[in-house]
Amino acid sequence: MDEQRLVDQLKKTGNLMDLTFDPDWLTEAAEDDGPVEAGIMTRPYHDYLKSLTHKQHRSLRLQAQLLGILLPELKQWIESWGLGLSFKPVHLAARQVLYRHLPRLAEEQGNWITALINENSQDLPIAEQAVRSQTSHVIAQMFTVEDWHELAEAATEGMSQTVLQISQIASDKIPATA
Amino acid sequence: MSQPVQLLTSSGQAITGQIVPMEQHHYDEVNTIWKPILVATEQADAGWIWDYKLRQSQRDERYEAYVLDVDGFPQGLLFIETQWHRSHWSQRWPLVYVEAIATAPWNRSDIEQPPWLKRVGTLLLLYARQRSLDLGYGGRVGLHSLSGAEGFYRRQQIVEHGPDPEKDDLVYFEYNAISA
Repeated sequence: MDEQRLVDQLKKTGNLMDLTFDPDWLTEAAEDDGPVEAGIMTRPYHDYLKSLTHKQHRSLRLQAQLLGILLPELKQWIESWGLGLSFKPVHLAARQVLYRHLPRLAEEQGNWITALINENSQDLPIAEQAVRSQTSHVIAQMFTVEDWHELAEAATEGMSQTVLQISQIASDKIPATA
Repeated sequence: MSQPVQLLTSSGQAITGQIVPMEQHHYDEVNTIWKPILVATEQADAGWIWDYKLRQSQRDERYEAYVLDVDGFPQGLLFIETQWHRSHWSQRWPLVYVEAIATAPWNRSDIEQPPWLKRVGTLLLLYARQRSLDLGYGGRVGLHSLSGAEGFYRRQQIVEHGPDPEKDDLVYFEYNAISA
């Protein structure tokens, strides 16, 4: 780290993290970190990475690219359902359901994923990505009746938790009487 | 509490992320998607114990656990201890100690060229230094590097204190205070 730069940033905004929005920082960010693991507890993770085959590494890279498309689209889709306070638990449950389905896609869905990644690699504006625009439709096809029930339960549970928390907060606010 | 940050993708596009306190769902996702899920594998349990650090951060305020979230999924992890560790310099200043720092498999240039997102590790370390400033420690941060990562810390011009027999001879590095 360029310590003088950190000093300048502190004088400027008082927060080092604002540096990441500096165009000069981004230019330097073209450099790579390489391995950064520190702390004894990262050893098992380091060993795990070393144990992966080239094919598995390629797959992980593809996975990151795919999730970088699917997860924002999934979130946007669920936001459109108007779930209010149940959004977060349903969103998290839907992600887990999606992860369950990705390893066992039907041939047609697999072909769609390939087309999606190819389209994404062209760096087109999102509005021009025709395959990407089908994401919610394809995810809806992936999800089974049982999956939808799981999401419904997550919504119910989320709402119940919220109501119970409100009840707790309200009772905590009741002043003690002599 | 979340900290917006900006970083670069491999295609040179600037993208915004958030450093947020780690929650259980982050841990669950790391355990799922930092492993290959698109291909059939017979990966044994990888033996990661980050759930232990997550629980520590939830029950003891001196531990903090963070995740860098971009596009809605975890790209890197940072676990710090904020009260008990002291500088290896004779003055024994208080500092933030990095219990663990790790980046997602696809963000590592030693494995994948170019990495999916660049400088995830640098960014998390910068956040550790900001936490050190927040706590009144002046930006001092200490850590024990795995042997494969020592080159990164040497390039950072962080002070090297040599192998630490109390930590399996991992090399101890320490950032000094940020001063004009």
